[in-house]
Amino acid sequence: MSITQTMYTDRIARLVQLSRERHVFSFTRFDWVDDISEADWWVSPELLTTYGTPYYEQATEAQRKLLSKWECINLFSLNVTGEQELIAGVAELLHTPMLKEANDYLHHFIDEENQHMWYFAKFCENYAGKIYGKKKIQLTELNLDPRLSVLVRFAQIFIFEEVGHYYNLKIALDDRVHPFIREINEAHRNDESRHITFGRILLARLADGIAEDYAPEVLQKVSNHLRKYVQVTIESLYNPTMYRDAGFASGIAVRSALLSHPVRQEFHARELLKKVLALLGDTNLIEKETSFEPDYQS
Amino acid sequence: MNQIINLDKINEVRQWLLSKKKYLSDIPFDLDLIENDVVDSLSFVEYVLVIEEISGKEVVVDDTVLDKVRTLDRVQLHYME
Repeated sequence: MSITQTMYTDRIARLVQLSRERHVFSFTRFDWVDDISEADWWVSPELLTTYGTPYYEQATEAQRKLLSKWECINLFSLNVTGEQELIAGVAELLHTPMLKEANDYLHHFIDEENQHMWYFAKFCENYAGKIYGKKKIQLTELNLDPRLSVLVRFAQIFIFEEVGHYYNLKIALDDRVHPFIREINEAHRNDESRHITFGRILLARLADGIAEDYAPEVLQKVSNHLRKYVQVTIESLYNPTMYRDAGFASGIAVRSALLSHPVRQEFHARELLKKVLALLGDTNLIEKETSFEPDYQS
Repeated sequence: MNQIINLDKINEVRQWLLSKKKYLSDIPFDLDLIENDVVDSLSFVEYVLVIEEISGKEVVVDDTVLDKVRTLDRVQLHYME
């Protein structure tokens, strides 16, 4: 997939226009409810990480609903910590020559992400009394040139946002879920759809020609890194603390069993990561393979 | 008065690492797990999560965390005592 310079600037101009027309002030837009019951659905039952496994089949509806609360808190916490990282990374790229045409949009991007981070954090604190902390860390430097560094940064943002968007879309439309939680997911979905469009445009433009511009071993390094990032992103959905909060004795045991369960792996490969891997493959950022099977072993 | 140090929990962490790195026969308590690639960026998250579950304490991942989890000795000192 490649896009011309004119298409690139036109599409970004359109996104800037949309961000201005649809701008909302999240700090006052919500009527925050006093409480959300643990007898409510906080995420759709089919989105629970236990879905399709004995952990789901053997649970009562009350146990599933309690887990849905902590899975919701985990998803929202991942948004808080992910957006914090994202804002810091994007802010570093403001006013850089390579992203000159995207500069105005990057300001909207940061503005919107800052608001998301605020309401997700407030939600977690209000209704669960805590935010789950981030656990990932980058231990080795990739030592890439500026173009590939920017590409990797935005590819990571794209992975994070696409996965989150999958959940937002499903939950926003599910009338079994508590209405306030649906409203939060809907608000996020609205802004994120523009961010994802931007990510697609930017990656397609900046990655155009990389197969010719870089040695195969350099692209292999990028591909390996992004595959690991995808895997860490998926694994972050299976937070052991969340399982312990939902009443499981060992969160690690549940996480290990679920991550190695074929139904869950199938869901990741065929459903959750389908669009992400297609774009990253099309732009030569990830080596194309017929399937993605995380190498998680319990 | 000498404090009695219970090594059961840190041994659980060591056993978990050995189960993940089957080519290792042992992991000395002072081995730098990161320098020696026993823990990498991918497995770091799970390593931290295992420490949390076994210790019952939160591992805050900030600028100081690497120094606290680099060796089993340090994990013992910071999270198991």
